[in-house]
Amino acid sequence: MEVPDLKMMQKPFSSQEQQAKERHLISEAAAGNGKAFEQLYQLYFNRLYQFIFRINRHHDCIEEIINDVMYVVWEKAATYDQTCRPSTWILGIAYLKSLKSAKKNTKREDESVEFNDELDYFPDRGARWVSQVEDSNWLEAALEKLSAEQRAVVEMTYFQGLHYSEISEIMQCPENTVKTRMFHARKILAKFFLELNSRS
Amino acid sequence: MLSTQIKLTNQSEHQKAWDLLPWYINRSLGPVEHAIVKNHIRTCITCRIELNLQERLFKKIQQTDLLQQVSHASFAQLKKRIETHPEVSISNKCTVSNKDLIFFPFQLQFLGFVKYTALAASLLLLAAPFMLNSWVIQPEMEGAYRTLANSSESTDNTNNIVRIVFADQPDSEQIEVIVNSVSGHIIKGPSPNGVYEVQIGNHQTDTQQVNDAIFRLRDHASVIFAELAQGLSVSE
Repeated sequence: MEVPDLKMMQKPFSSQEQQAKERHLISEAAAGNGKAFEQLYQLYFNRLYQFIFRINRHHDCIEEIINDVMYVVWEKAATYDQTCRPSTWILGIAYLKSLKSAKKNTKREDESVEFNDELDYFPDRGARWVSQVEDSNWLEAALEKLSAEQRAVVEMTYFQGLHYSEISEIMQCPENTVKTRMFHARKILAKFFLELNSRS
Repeated sequence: MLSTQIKLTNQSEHQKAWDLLPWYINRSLGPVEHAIVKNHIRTCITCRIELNLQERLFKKIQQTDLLQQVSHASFAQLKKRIETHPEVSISNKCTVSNKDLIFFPFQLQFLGFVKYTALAASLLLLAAPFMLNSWVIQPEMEGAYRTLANSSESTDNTNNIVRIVFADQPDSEQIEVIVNSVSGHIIKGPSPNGVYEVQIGNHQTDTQQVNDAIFRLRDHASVIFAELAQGLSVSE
């Protein structure tokens, strides 16, 4: 059983040509070429945005994290030894930064309590709207139930198209841990999916 | 012994294939692992069902619009905030309301009444300066410049007096015909601005008749303005 219909959806991230281009841009950046670094930044912006968003779920600090990540890339470009893919190196930095930010955000969320009189003007129509939103967007609701690490594995597999060995390199954990995280994530996602199907 | 061994091999092969399905879908597996999964799913219905589910998940993630995701995540945070603070939670609001309604229906209605009365009162307060403007004669309005919209300075016995401005200066006969058609007669005018004051009927004419007359005047092609004199200023 092949998966030909999904072939079109493959991201061009992992092509040899793309990797060569990225390696060149990193070495140029290491030599102080600002233009090359800007190109690398533009090339990675969307990819990093998606990746970071999936892990920490807070869009308000994503640009800040992207810039933190790319600052490290600029600073440490000379230390990139080309043994791993450029994406493994950059996403690895992004993963650590996102995890840190996710932890901070969880703390901030717990502390935030703001109320005002405007709340009186919300229409009082019951909780039905909550389940409607969940139905229309079961995936986001399901991803919300995963841990940051599990979300990261799902994201790196299904959006970034990475092999589990690369994911283990990025997350700095054994390959079996990646598989286990994916196993648990799949269980939770399947539960949501089946629940949604039975409801509809 | 042999069958147990085969079973164990099958079991471990199934587990391996099952674990590798996500990477089989994203096409990142090497040729050996790819072949293992491909051969296994030919015969394993469990893995085929799982493959189908994971493919749908993969498609959904690939197709999801990023901005949409961002908005949904923002909303999820807001939802969490609403749900974690029961005093403003919508679902809790409902529960509390229904429970309390059994014992204190009038109390709740009264609270609602108070809220909306307070809102109406504040709106009235806001509108007060504009309303007072038409009741009080403002000294600055007594000067030479006035418009038809300014406050009136003569307010007595004007319930049936209408101010009219005609288009293109029709002759007096035409004006007479128009005024007579609504049982009116000119009591003043024209002013330098071309305003006529017309009394509709007599002092016993009721408001409805005056309003009808105004509507008929407005329908007339030669009339560009017809309004009750009460509430309007004198236009010189």
